Amino acid sequence: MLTTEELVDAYVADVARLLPRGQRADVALELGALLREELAGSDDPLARLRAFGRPAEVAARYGQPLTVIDQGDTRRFVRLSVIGVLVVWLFGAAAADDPVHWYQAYGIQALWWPGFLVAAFGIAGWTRRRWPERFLWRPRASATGTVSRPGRIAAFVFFVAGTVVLVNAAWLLEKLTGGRAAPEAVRALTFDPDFARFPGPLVLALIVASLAHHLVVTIHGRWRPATRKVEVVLGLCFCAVLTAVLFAGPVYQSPAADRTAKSAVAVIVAVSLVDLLVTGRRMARQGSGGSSTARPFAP
Amino acid sequence: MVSDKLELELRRGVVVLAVLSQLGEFRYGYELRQTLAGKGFPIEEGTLYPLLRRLESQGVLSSQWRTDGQPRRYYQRSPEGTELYARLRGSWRGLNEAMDRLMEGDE
Repeated sequence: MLTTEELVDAYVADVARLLPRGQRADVALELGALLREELAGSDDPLARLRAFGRPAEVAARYGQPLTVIDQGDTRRFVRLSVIGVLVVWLFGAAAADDPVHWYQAYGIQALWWPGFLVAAFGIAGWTRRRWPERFLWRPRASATGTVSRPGRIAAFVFFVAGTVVLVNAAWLLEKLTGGRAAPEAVRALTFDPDFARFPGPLVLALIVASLAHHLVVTIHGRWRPATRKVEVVLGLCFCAVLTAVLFAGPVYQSPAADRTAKSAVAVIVAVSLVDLLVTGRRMARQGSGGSSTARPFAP
Repeated sequence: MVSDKLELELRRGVVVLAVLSQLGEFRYGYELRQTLAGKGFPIEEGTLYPLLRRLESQGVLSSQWRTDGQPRRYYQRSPEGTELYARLRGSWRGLNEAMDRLMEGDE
């Protein structure tokens, strides 16, 4: 059984080793003297010391505790960490050969993501504290429904070019190489005849409809309830058709190109579904009256 | 419990003012705690002792070791601390009056 003196010495040592080096001796001397006075004649000095607080908490009270992730960011950090790790694990489960391979290549490796987020949130928090005036709140364009026209026009040009390349990849390759392209390369970019008959044209029609929708929103300069709904309907159609493509016959004549294309389609479907879920939840919230923020003093 | 936490938060806001009010003359930590408790404002030692050091590092208190008898560190308001005390005292009185007006007739 330790004496009060020994308990105080042990407690003070535990607090002091967590303090900055320059403070240790001085705080230890003062804290030791104060605790001896506090505990003189106490029946249960251990309980009194425990009530004083964990050494780490007491040491933190002596100085300015170091914050890595701001309190306001903690919920977002946890959510992003969990989602990121789960996504890596799920994709890993699809790609791994066996559980051991999954564990080594994805199970443990996925933990780089929370580590990366700690660094990112830490730097962001430090930057905000260092230059607070640069991080004053401003209404986000997306929250007000407005869109950036130059950005959307650039995206439209990119999407149209991408669609043209996607549809005519083999023909473009022949033209660019003056007919000297390797037959394997041309075959890799040539659609399977069955896919080209159906559902290829349906996929193309949906792409064209999406481009038209993109253009309409750009011309309006903001999102409207109707364009939001059309976006959701188009998204659902895309997911349904692309899922059918995944399980139907080959897309490309070359088996290797077909596997690559279907992997890309699977990723697109997964991302689109998550996006639709988020959009659906947002629309449902707005549809229910925008909760308490819309009418703060409504009876 | 939520009520305990809220009461703690309310008290935390005035701890610095309570400490400054009693440090017009030199006192050491344990003595200060006893004085505050004797006047109806008990503060946990785990809160008070680190607070004294923080206030000193912020220039609000000055301190000195006295070794006549058991070595003890004594604290007193610095000139900046006295200015701060006057300002906080004014704020406290203003708040007190406002709260009295807000809660008028509730008892």
